[in-house]
Amino acid sequence: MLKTIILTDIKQNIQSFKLHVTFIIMMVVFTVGSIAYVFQYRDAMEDYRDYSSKMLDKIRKEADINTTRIAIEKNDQLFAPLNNGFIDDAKSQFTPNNIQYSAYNVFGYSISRKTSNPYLYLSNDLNWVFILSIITSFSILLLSYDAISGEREQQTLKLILSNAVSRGVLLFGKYFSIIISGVLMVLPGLLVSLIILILSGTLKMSSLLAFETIGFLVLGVLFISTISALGLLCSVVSRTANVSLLIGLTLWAVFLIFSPNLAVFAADQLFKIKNSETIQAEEKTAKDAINKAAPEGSWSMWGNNPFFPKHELRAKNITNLMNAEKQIKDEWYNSQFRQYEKAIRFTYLSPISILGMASESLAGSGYPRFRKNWDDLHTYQNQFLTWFKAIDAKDPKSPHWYNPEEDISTSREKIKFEEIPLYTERMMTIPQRLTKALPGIMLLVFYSFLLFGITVVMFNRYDVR
Amino acid sequence: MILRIASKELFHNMSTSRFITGFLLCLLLIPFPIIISINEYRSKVSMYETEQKQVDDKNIVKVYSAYRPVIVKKPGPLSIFARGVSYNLGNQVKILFSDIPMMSEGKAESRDNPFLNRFFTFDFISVLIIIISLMAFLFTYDICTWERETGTLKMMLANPVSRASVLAGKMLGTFFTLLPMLLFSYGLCILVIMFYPDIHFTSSEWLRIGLIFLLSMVFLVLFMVIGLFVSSRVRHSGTGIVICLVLWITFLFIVPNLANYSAKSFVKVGSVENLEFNIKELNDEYLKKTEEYEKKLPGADWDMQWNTRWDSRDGFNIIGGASKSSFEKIKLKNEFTEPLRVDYADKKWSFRKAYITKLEKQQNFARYLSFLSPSEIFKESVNGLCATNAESHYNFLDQTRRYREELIHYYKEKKLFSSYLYFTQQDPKNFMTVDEIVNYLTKGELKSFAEVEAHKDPFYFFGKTKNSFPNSNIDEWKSIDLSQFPKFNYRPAKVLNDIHHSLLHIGVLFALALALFYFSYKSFIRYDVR
Repeated sequence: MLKTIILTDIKQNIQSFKLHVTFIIMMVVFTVGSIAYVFQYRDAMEDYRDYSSKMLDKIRKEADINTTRIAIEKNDQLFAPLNNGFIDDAKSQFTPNNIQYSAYNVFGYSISRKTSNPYLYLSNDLNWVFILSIITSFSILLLSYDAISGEREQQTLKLILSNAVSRGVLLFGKYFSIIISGVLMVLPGLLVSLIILILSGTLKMSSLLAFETIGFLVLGVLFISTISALGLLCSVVSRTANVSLLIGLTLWAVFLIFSPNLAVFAADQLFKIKNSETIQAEEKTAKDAINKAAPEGSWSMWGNNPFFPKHELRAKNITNLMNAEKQIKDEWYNSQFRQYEKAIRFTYLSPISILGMASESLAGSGYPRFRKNWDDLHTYQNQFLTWFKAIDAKDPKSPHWYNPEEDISTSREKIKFEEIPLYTERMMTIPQRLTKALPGIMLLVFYSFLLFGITVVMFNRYDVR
Repeated sequence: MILRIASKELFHNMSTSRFITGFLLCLLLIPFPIIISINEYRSKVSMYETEQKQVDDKNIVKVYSAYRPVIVKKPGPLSIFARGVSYNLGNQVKILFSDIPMMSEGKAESRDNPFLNRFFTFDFISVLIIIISLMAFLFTYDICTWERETGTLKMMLANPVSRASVLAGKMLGTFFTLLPMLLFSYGLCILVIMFYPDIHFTSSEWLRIGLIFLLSMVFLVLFMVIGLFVSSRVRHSGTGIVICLVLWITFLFIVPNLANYSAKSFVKVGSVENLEFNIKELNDEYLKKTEEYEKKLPGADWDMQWNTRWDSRDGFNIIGGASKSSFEKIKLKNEFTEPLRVDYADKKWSFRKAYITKLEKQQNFARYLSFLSPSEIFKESVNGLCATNAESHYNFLDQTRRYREELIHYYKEKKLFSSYLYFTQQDPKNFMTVDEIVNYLTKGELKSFAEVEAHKDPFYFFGKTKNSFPNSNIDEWKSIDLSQFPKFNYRPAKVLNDIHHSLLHIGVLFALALALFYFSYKSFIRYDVR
């Protein structure tokens, strides 16, 4: 019996006008999105290659001057474009994507404008997450809102139930058929998208790609089942299809609009952090105090002799200034991390946001990627400094007064470019990504069960006349 | 008769659940975005005040090379309604001689935590568009089909009433059903704003808000007519609702993102980083030229300087004390390097100009593609009225560029580049030769510079200084009078000017509504009422 219900419903869905229309739209967006992505990725890669080669040239030039220059030069670690941005780019153009460091310090992060145009309005990229979270969820809602209330209005519900079929089985059959229809609606688009990406040479077959695609598929199915359960719930809470639709649309709009707004609101109101003006003021106070306490002559310069005694004072003073700034900034940065992590929790109320957050983790982009780089760069910076100090220690012409900003009182020997340890980004490994995505996945499973459970309870009390 | 039909429609609509849902949606969705926008606005204002204060502090100028005014654009409270691009752009422009302002600087994000940018929040106008268009569709998708399905349409038409008046009456009724929702949304918005007494609107801003409200009514009518058109072309309400909702999601969510994404993909801009590398090459070239020129100049007898402050970026250089020949050399150098700096700014501008032209091209592509959706046309004109669109920012930048020209003209006209006051307040009459300096500083212990150089210990001289260089404490110098210098006055576009810009958009929306209404009327006349 269950099989019959499922098959008839799938058939009915597939033949329905709403599925045809939304399917066409989805295919169009998948196709246009993928083609556009191919162009965008190519340009971004070209720019990035250009940028990194110029960056390396800069380091080469510095190496030709002296080793200290390599150590004190502030470098930007600009995040490379990811080749899985077609799944989700996690708004990487609007969130910190550049970390500044030298051998002495990891200074901070910024949002590099890269190729993003400030005169464009904020918009979403047409990636898989966007398509699923907006178009697919909407289509599923359209498919499911009248599953029960619609049948009641057409008087067919009582006919079905006059057969030897329990309400639970009927509901499950409907639920399952909506999920299958949803998956069938999305799959061709995903395939077309993958084919375009592979044919254009943007993607290479690899185990990582397989993991990302399959991971996203699993996530997608979970998302579809959550939204289907939601649609069914809307369908059983009302006696007429129109009201079910209204409730569904309201919930959808709330999930889409309310949840990110709530997150920012909560961050602003509940988890306040210091603003940049306060931080600037704090830094100024700390620095002024250090400069005041600095022994006289700390800023004196005299000729080119590295052993001029005042150089040591200045080196100490500059180091103190740097450390004071670092302390204030790092505390502020940590408060930003904490605020963001707390704010995220509010988005977990909305399946649409969960999909975004979990795919961000699966794709190893967004905030998890940033944090990994941030931590890795700190480790690297320590190694870099140790390396530099070892080289400096061997130089008899250097007084070894470490100054984070000037190339006067440490080794001024040239160095071969090949000997310099460079930072390269290490992508998140599959287990790391899975761990990060797990809460989202669990939540989607939980929501599906919860919503379907409520639906079953409600449907058992439903007046089918 | 039209009125009777309208009032019947109105009462019918008001008794439906969609009416209550509409208000519920407004209540649920509108306050949060407004509070967030207000927070963003206030944080921008506080940023503006801090920056303005810093600018005022910096404007205490001791030498001409230090005067590089910073212009801070005051944020407008209308950004609470429509954020536009104001969100992406900084509000500071530093007037430099070595560069023509390309884009505003300063902290762009009004959120102190950049990670929160991950959440795209909607501004008031976006939420309003979502609610109003959805409601317009939900009330009109079955405007023709519903009465036919229930069988009341033929009864109504059996009366001596024309189809045109039935249609007009129904539309009028629906319009008056939705108008309270629109009023409620605006009322809610204003109410929330009233909780923040620090936010004021000027009369011209109120006028703009009024215009935006009028525009919203046109927008509402347009979406109602689209719904009506769909309804007049289909036989079943079920089909009508599907088409309307698909149109809704296409207009509101797909077209704008599609437009921006394709613009980003198909109109290439290139990265700022690479632009900066090109600029750096020109900067290096400029430095090389100035160094070469400096070598050609007669050498100073001593390069020692007391109390100097300098900044490599734009020729800022204060020298507390130096020898006579050293001062003269710097003056000669400035006569050459400063006008050259301005020339190089023009050279760099050709790169920068090319870059911003591409940005504008990309933005225009995105904009015109997004005009496939009527809601985007509406949004664009609201952004125009709130002065948060790109044009308004271009206008601001243009004014800063003109001001820079004016300032440079003033420097050249008054020959400030070749004055001593460009880098020092030491009186040329009191300039000392190198021997005089050594003699003065060591109180006669060392007589000449030759003695300093002859000594084995390179730091010997330092141990012997007893006097400090006369009048070399920069902090004690008076600030110079800048009252004659050209001042920057931002002249925002007049309301009339902005209306003129929005007029085309409004015209398009109106024409679209009229055309669709006409077509709906045509199909309704042929509509099979059975």
